[in-house]
Amino acid sequence: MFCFPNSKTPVIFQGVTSEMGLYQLEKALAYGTNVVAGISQESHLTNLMGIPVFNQVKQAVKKYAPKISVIFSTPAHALEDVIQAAKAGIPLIICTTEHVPMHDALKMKMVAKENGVQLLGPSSNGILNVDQALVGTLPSHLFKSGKVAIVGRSSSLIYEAVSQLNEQGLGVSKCVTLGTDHLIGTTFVPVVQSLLKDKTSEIILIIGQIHGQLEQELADFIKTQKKHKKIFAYIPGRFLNRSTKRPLLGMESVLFSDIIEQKKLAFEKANINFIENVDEIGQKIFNSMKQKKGKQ
Amino acid sequence: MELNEYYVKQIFRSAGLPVLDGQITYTPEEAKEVAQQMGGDAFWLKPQMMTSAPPYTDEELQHKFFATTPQEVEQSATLILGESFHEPNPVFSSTIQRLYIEQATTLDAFCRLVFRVDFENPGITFSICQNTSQILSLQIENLKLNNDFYKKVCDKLKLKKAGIKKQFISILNKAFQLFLSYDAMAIELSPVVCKNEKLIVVNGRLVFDPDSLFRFPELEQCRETKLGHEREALAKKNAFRYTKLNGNIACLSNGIGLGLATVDLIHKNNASVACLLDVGTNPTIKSITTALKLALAEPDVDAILVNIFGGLTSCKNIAQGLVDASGEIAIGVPIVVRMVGLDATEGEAILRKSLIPFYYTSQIDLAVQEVIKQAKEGY
Repeated sequence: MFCFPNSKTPVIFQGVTSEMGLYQLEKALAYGTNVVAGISQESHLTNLMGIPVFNQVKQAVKKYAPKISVIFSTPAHALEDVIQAAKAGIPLIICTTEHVPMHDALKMKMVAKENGVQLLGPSSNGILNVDQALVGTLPSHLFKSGKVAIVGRSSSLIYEAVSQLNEQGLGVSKCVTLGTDHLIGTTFVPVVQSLLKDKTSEIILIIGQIHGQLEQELADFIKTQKKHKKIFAYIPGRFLNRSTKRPLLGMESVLFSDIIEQKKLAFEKANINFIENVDEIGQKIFNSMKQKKGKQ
Repeated sequence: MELNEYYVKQIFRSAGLPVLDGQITYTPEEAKEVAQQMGGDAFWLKPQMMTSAPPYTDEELQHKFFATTPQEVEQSATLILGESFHEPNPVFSSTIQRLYIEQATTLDAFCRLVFRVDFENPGITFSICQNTSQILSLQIENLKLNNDFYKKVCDKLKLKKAGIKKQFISILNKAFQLFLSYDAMAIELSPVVCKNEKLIVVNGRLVFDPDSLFRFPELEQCRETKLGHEREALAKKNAFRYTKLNGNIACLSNGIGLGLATVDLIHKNNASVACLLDVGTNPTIKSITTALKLALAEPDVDAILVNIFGGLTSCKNIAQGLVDASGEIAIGVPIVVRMVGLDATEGEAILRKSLIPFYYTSQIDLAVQEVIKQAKEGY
């Protein structure tokens, strides 16, 4: 299960004095997020925009018991920061760092598992609980309040979807970005599992990715649910050629269009509506909501 | 990221993996000298170039790139050096300029093996192949090899002799240590052969993770651009991603998801994309300029679509990047710009003030239709 932050959830920012950390701290505070502390190992600051700043995560944990840490470090320091947060027992760690080395991502996943905490990312843009809390780098000004929950890997495509929903007069309840990296801590399943129970969300939109098996894993999970909310999914990349990289021993290079077909089939078997074209996202969801209203 | 075989062999050798003697050479005389120094009665002359497929086949190693005396090495090298080399994907021609002269041995594979970061079952996977088929695949837990692992592998290969077993376990360990110490995406030993009770790693690959290269600055100097991938390399240097496709519309976008979705939409409308330039989530003005210049330099490009959704990306920067590029290179093809989100109005104003002829819209479907029309008709 995945826990969404609300306006009371205590949050800390690691790497708060980085350019992105500062920028997002301001945005998060303006959005009403309960940021209780910032962590910066380099800086001698003790206070930033009215928020106390510490050197070590454990100092902040002792005083404020944060439920979430958002990490804004460089690729070279991200692993170290995830380890600090995991060892301090913060239940949800969001790593927004892009270009994290793959071995570091593996180690992040290991350390999260060992310490029984949830890792979102790396390369995640975080979570937006609309009108409640902004934890991460999502541009909150785009999001209007509504009943569509979005879980996706690519953030730019999420913005596109949100703008189409806005045009249809629809809005978003919650938005979770898993990250576009190959190795990430949280998959679709736990997030969707929670969204199925979430009262503020009526429809779920999944934005998938060619690489990996996360979509198939989600389809398998949804098949076990007897009755569930309407779920839509879109995956880009059908028209890209196969990879030009030389395949490794025992592996074949597969056509991207075949991968998308497999994922589409898995979704359809699980009663998830597959959207073929990116410009139809808003319209398809609008029609579905209209239908539902018609029935009621 | 991969390196030429002769660098990989150096790394293997210093890690203690049993590789054959060899040296890089640039002239037939050098080749002969190296063969003389090494001694023996069988030599390979392996072309060294960064290509998508291996630059030679096993069959070629048995005939064309094989010699038995230093004199023969010299004769063959004279023929091979300067010979043209063709690559199918991407289509590219070059000439062979250097040869790795190596002591030759049997090519009968004892086995082929690979440790790799697995994206399908997230973790590290080890596989063994005999001939071309995989006979064993194991997940490595906790970044460690243990006795259970060695036993499974040795049992599968039916290794009985203690000497061979010991050598093989040592190879497994050294390869895995290399994989870990370079934060590599994969290490492949293919083939490992057995001659006179001795195991030899005849060839192999080390695939580096581009995101961990900052830890290994020494690799930078042996890094070479793959033939036909110069544009990808230039893009990488300027912090954007370039993907070559076969059509006539260049597509510049921020974020890989939006980029791919735009490509899909263009193809759905029966047109096709020449290249996708993904400038990432937070591009600089300079990277936009370089990306646009790259698109304009493509001979096949008949029109350009700029599709930007400003989440973190400021549309002002995008517009300024486009304007800067127009100052450096003539814009000979129509440009369609679709920008929404952060600073979109300001971005549009910058473009309108400039002399760039462009079509502007905030709708993705309109933008796609327009760029297809303009690619067909020109201005």
